[in-house]
Amino acid sequence: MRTSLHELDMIEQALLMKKPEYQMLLEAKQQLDPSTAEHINWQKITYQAIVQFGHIQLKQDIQLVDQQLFSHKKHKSFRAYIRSLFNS
Amino acid sequence: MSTIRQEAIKSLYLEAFPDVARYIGKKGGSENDAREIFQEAIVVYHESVLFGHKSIQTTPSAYLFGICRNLWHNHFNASIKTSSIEGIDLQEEQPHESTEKIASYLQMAGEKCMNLLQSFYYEKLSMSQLAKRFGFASERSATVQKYKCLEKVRDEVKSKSLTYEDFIA
Repeated sequence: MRTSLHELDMIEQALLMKKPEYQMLLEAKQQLDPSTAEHINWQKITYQAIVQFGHIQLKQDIQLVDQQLFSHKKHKSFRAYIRSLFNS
Repeated sequence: MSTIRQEAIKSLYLEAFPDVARYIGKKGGSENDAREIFQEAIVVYHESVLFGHKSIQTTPSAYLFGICRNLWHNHFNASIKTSSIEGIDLQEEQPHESTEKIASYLQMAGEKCMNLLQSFYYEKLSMSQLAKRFGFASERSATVQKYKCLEKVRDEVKSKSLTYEDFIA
């Protein structure tokens, strides 16, 4: 792996996996290179963005299935049955 | 991946939704109420059971029914609270406007990368599952690709100057 990927790995092992040896390494790196703190911050934001993206994708999949079941011809009987539950 | 998940969601609907709809209907709710609540319940089921590895002592249908009953109860109590406060203009909470923005920014980092990253960080797949799903020869190759994608997305996030608050919906 190239150097920039090694740094991503080090931050991940320290932040997400919470491995003490990487946490110590990262702390030492921050002492030597002050820009490390900024890299850590961007990586945290990126994790948050990915999780948010996954959440949105899941909701879109659910909405798509819901729309299919409540609009496609082939699910007519399912729809009719559900509607009957609200008309009785 | 998405199609497989959609098929699984459809099965959940066909199996569990009728009981939920009957329950919500009996409690005076509408078909739309039932659909909204069921959608929320499916998100909870995925995030806590499938991705969060929470073990359940019941069937997925029964678990979903339990979540829907709780969600309906909360929804019903919230409606009573809202209608009892007179003279105050209570606005419904709007969805966080940045969520759509974020999704479109991240699509720019490439669909394959985003799918790979969300499979690991959101769905919490192991490296071996990740390698299998995306056709990598080894866990090592999957790991390297994951970090390449992470770097790409981080640079995208950075270039748009997104902040932590943008992701708190």
